[in-house]
Amino acid sequence: MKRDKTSKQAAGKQAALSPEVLRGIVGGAQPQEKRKIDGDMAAAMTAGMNDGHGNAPSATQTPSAQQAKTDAVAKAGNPDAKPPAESKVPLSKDEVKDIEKHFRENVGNKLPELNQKNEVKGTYERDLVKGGPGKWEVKSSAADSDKKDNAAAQQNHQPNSAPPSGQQPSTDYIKTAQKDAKTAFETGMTKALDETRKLAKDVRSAGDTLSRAQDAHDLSSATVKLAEAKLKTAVVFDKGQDEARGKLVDALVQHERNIKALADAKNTHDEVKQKHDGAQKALEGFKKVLSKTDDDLPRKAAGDDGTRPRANTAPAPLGANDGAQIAKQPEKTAEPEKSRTEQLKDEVKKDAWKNGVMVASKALEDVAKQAAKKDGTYEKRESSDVLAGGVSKDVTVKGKTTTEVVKVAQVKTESETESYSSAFGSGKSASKSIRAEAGYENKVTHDLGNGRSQTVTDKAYAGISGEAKAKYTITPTSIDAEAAAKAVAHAELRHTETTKIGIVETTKTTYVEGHAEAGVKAGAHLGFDGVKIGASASASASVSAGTSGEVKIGDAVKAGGDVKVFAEAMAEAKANAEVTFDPLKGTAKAKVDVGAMASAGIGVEGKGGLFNAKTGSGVGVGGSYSVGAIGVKFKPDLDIKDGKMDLKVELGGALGVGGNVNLQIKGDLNKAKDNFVASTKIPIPSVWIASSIVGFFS
Amino acid sequence: MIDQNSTPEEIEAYKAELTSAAEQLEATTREHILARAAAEGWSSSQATWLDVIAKQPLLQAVADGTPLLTALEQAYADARRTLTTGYFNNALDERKNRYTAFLTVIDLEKQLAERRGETPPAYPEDILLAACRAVEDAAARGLSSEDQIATGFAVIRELSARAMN
Repeated sequence: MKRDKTSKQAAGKQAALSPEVLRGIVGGAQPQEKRKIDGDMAAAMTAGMNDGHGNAPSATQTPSAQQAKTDAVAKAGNPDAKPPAESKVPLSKDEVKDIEKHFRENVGNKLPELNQKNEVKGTYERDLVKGGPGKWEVKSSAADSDKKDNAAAQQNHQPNSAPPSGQQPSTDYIKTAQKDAKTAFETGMTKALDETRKLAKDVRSAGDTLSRAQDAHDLSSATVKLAEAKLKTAVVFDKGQDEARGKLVDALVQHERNIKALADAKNTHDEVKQKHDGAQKALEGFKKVLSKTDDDLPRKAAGDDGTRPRANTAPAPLGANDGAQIAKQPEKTAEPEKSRTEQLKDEVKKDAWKNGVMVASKALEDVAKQAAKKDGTYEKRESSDVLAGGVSKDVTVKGKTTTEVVKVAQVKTESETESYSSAFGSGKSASKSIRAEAGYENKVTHDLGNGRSQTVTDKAYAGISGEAKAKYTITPTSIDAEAAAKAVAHAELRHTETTKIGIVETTKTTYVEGHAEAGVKAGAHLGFDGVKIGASASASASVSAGTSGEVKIGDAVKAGGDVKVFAEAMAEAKANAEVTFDPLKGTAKAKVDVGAMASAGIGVEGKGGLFNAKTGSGVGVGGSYSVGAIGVKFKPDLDIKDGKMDLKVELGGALGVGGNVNLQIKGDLNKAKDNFVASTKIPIPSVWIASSIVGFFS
Repeated sequence: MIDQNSTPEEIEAYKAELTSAAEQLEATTREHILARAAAEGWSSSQATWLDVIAKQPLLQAVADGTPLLTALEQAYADARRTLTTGYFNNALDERKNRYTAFLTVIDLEKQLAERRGETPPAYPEDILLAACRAVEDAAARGLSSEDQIATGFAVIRELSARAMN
C-alpha cells in the first residue's frame, strides 16, 4: 500500500480513536446494521488498538480515527477499498476495555482470519434451515487478504514506519479470546472424558457378555458334534436312534439360540466400541489442541520473541502511561514482523495443530449426533413424492425369448432433513430435489441353450433435476455453515448387446450421451483455528458418443484388459481335428539357426538332445514338400561315406499340409545296422498301446 | 560288418539288410503309434502326424543303440508335445493372441478326452485365466512355445491341487 506524505503528516496529528468511532466500526457501515462477523470488520476493529504486545500503539502506529472508520466501513462493503490508515495516539485503558467489550459482543471469542480462495459475492437465505445462523453475507476476496498482507510486509520493511493497521488484533483481545477458547476446549474435553469413561465401562461390560456368549456357543457346538456322533453310533448299532436323534435336535435348537446370542453380543460390543472410539478420538483431538494452546499458537500469535509474557497468561492491566512507554521503545526494523494473518496462516499450516482442530471438530459432530440419538433429540426425515406420471414395467415371455419394457414419465421430488442437539453440539441440515424425466428401456433376452444367452437392450432417456442443500453445525469449538445448489440435465441413447456363455458375459455398448451440470457451493467455518470462508461455482456440459465393451466372468473376476482378451479367447480357441498346419515348422525354423553347424559337418540339431557330438550323429528335418503326394510312404536311401551311415528317408503322404518330410539319420554304420536288426526282433508289447503318459503335456 | 576293404557286393548286401530293418521298424512302430494315438483320442490326421514326427528321433535313437521300447516311448511323448506345440504356434501364426493359442491347446485336451469317451476336464475360469497370464509371462521372459505351454499346465495343476485341498 502506498502512503503519501500528506497522510503521514496527517497521521502524526491524529487524535485517539474514540470508542464511538470504534462502535461505529463494530456496528458496520450503518449504526443500525447488526453484522455477525466479517474478517475485514474484525481487522478494522483492531486497527488502532494495541501493538500486539498488550500495549497501546505508539504515536506512529495509531491511525486516524476518522480515516480508520471511513476505510473500515468502505472496506467492509467494498473489497477494493483500501484498509484503514494508522492511528498514532495511544488509547486509554477504559477505551481499550470498551473496545474489547464491543468486540466480544459482536464477534465472540473467535480469532478472525481470512482464508478464502475465491471471490464471494452471494447472499444465502436461511429458508431451508430453520434456526440457522440467519442471513449472512460475505463480500471479500483472497486478493484483498493478500493485498493487505503484502502491504503489511512492505511497511514492516520501512524503518520508522507504522505497522500495518487493520491486520493485528490487540494482545488483550488475543489473550482473552485465547483464554475463552481454551476454556471452551477444556469444557469439551471434560465432557468427552466423562463420555469416554462411561463408554469404556460399557465396552468392558459388552466384552464380558460377548465372552460368555462365545463360551456358550462353543459348548453348544461341541454338544451338537457329540450328539451327531452318538446318532451315528446309534445308526450303526441300530439301537437308540430315536433318543439320539431327539438329543441332536435339542442340541441343535440350543446351538441355534447360542449362535443368535453370540451375534447379538458381537453387534452390541461393536456398537459400543465404535461409540467409545469416537469419544476417544474427540478426547485426543481436545488434548492435541490444548497442548498446542499452551505453547505454539499464543506465543507466535502475539509475535512473542521469548522475552515477552506468554499470550495465554492473564493480561497485565494497562497503566495510563503504558502506551507512551511502548511508544518510546525502539522499533524493531531488522526483521519485518509478520502480519497477524500470516502468523495465523502459519499456525494453521502446522499439521499437528490443523489435525488436532479438525479431528476435534469432526469427532465432536459425530459424538454430538450419537449423543442426540441417545437422548432422543436426533431426528431425520426422508420423503419422496411423484407429482405426476410414474414408472411402468411390462415383462413378456415367449418361448425362449423374454421381453422387458420399462417406461418412465414422471416428475418426482425427494427431501431429507436432519436435526440433532446434545451437550456436544447441535446441527441441522435439509436438502430438496425435484426431477422430471422421461424415457424407455426395451430389453430382449434370447436363451440360446447350453448356458448361452444374448440380450439386446435399447434405452432412451432424458431428465432434468434441481437440488438445494443447506447445513449448519455448532459445537463448543466451532460453527460451520454450508449451502449448495445444483442443476443437472441429462439425455442419452444407448444400444447394448450382451452375450453370455457360461459365466463369461461380454457386453458391447453404443451410445450418445449429453450431460450438463451447474452448481454453487459456499461454506464458512468459524472456529478456534480461525475463520474460513469458501465458495465455488461450477458449470460443465458434455456430449459424448462412442462404443464401449465390458467383460464379466462370474462374480469373482473383475473386468480388465486381460479378462476381456481371455473371454474373447474362450470364444475363439478351437483345435481342429484335421491338422492343417505344419507341426514341425517351429523345429524347422530352429534348424535354420544351426544351419552353419550342419554344413560344417558337425551334424544338425535334434530335439531332445539326440545330437551326438562325439559320433557326429543327429537328426535333421528337411522342409522339402511336394504338393499332391498321396499316401504315407517310407523311402530309405542309404549312403555310406567314410564309414559313416547317412540314411535319407523320405516320408510323405496325406499329412494335412500335403507335403513330404525328409528325414536324415546319421550314425556309426555297423552299430546302426546291428541296432536296427536287433530292434526288429524285439516285439512291442500290445500293452504299450493302452498305456498313457501321465498328464497331457507332461 | 563292413569297412573300407569291403567289396561292393558286401556293401550292397549290408545296405539291403539295413534298409529292410529300417523299413520293418518303421512299419511296426507306425502301427503301434497310430493305434496308441487312436486310443488316446487323437484323430486320424493327428495320429499320422504323431507318427511322422516320432519317426526321426525314434530311428536315430535306435541307430544310436537305445532300446526300442524306450526310444519309442520317448519319441512318442516328444511327438505329442511337438504336435500340441504346433497347434499353439499355428494359432499365433494366424495372428491370434497368446490366450487364444493356449486355450486352443486346452480345447485339444478336451477333444481328446471326449474322443476317448471320458468326461473332458473343466478347469475353473479363474484358474484358466491365471494359466493364460502365466503363459503370457513366460513368453515375455523369452521361453520357448513348448515351455510356455508347460508353464500354463503347471499353473493349472498347482491351482487345481490347491482348490482340491
